Amino acid sequence: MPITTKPAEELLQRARALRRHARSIEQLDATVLYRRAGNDTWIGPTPAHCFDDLVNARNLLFHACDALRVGAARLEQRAARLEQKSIQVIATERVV
Amino acid sequence: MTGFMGYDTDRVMSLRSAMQRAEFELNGIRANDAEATVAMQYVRRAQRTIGDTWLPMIDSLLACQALTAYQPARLDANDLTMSRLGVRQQLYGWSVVTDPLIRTDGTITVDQAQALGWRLSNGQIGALVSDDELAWLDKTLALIARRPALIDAFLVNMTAAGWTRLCNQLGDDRIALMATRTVEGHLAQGLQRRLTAIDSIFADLATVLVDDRARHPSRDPRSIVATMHPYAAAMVVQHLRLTAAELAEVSEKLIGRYRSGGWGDVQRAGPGTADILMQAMIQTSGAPAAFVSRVAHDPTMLLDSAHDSALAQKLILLGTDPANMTVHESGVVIPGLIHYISDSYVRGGFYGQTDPAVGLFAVDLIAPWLLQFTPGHVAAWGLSGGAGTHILQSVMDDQGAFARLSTRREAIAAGLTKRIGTSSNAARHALEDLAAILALIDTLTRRRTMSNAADARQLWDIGFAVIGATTSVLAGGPIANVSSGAAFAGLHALLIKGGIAPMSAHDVEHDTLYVLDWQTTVAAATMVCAAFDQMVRDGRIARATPPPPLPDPETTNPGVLYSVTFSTWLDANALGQEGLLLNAIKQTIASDHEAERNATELAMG
Repeated sequence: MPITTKPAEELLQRARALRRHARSIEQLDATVLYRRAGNDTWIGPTPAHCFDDLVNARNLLFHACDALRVGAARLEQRAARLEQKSIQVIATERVV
Repeated sequence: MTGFMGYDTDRVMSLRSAMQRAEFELNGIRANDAEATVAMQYVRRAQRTIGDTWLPMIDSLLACQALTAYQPARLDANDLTMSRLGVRQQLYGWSVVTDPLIRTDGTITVDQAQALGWRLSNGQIGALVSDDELAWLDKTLALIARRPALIDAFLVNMTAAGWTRLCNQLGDDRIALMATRTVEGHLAQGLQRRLTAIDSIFADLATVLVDDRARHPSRDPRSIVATMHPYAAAMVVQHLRLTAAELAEVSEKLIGRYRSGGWGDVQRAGPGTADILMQAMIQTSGAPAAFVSRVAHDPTMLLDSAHDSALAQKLILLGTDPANMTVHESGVVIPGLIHYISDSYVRGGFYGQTDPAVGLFAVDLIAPWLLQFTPGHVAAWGLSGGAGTHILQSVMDDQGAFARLSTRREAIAAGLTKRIGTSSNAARHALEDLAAILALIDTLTRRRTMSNAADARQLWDIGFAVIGATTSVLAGGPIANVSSGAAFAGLHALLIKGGIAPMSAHDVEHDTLYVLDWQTTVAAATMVCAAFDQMVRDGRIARATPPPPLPDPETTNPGVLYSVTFSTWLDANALGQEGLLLNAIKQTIASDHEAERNATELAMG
């Protein structure tokens, strides 16, 4: 069913933007940086700490992706509810 | 971790470039939507980690700034604890600096295991003197030994020369510690920790080899120990979980090399090569017999290799136990050992002192095989003429030996039972063998005079043990069944009444012949009663039949009197075939002729 109401369309645009951000973040070099910081590159307490931090940074970025997609889904649900409500209003007006 | 950091400069530069790109990209991630607030907080935290913490650190490292925390360092090439970084510095030109962080997470990586193997194989570990190094090596090897991937990594660089050098170093160190403990009576706490660490390292190294062989059966750890000092090899071999045959084979080689001389553990400070291997064989089922058989041609391997002679004797007795060795095998081993023990040099000891323990050990050695010295069995050992008697005489040469034989009566009985159990005609052989053993004991005891009740009791104990063993396999069942019969119960009551042993102290004034006459009479009565009870149970003899007569402990000629009363009983009861069989049993053990001869000799004083 095509979306026709302006508020719903705005919500869906925001959702699409959030999903684009999520995809962008997933493709950042920062998510694979840890691979360059392994034992082939350096060894020691500090390098081990760095490796752990970079793995943690990768996890943070994936958490960000998850959060963005959750936000997008929330916006999409709101848009669907708005659309459903507008359809009910139009139907009521026709009956009257 | 070590407090040092090593790095490949090119790779760190590459890492820095990647970080800079990542930091730039993260900076470009912007989202003003309220729904993206939490997500952007995550992104900024990741950005700060990279941009604020690690980029500056790497910049400083590569700029060669004089940082107090990261000072260039040249690692000691022989320091095992630095093996991981040391190998990379030495082989790959890595830079090494001090590291302010100390990280001890109790784990070890594949490259650490590889580096340790390389260092042990290529470094100068002659300087393995630091207690810290030993403790570290112990802990690290224990971690490696738990994971197959680490074991593979460790072994990939561990050469045969590396194994030999490491184990020899540890073995020599252990010998020195044991010597110190022997001389001073104890080890200081630090030295004791060192000894414990060395033992633990040997166990860990063996675990590595055992696991490797379990996954790669073609890899034989025995080839690894072949080039080590015998003592070091023994320290490893004891943990290798070899089969009995493998352990016996490698022990023969190592003890043979040890006996060639020149090794550190000949100082008899604590367990030596042979002691360690013998203890391992004692704990491995089948190994004692396999080893004793392998080295039967050279008794010195058994009796003059271990520092602890009791340990060697334990191994030999275990190996020559009838449960572990056939008659043929024992015939190869035992006569040679007795000849060696009987040698004046051995019995006299190195400094000419007498060693009664060796003589008593010889008694222990022959006790389970006493039957082989009887005329009917000596040929099975390949001995001719009086060779068996000569061997027996060389062992039973004093009262102490006879007393020892008495303490080993259970072994004698067990040996007899084993022989009967493997016979195709158990009942007949049981009687013949019992008679043979009693006659042999008779022969042994006639050479000495029983001077007190204790001596007589020893003689009786030996005889009664073999009588009991034979009864247990005669007449179709264990002794519990036999002893439940009425006839046997009567005999048992008689023996109890007489104090089990036939003689009280004043009766010892009789000579040993009386003892033997009484004993063979009791043996015959025991067998006859057991067989009679079984026949009654089987219905072959009527239940109303009076039981066989019992020996008279009050008479001066028990054998003759028993023969007479037994014959009278047979005639009075007309037992047919069963009577003939009972008579055969009685005559096999105590013949009328023998009883009459004994009576004559007794009467003549």
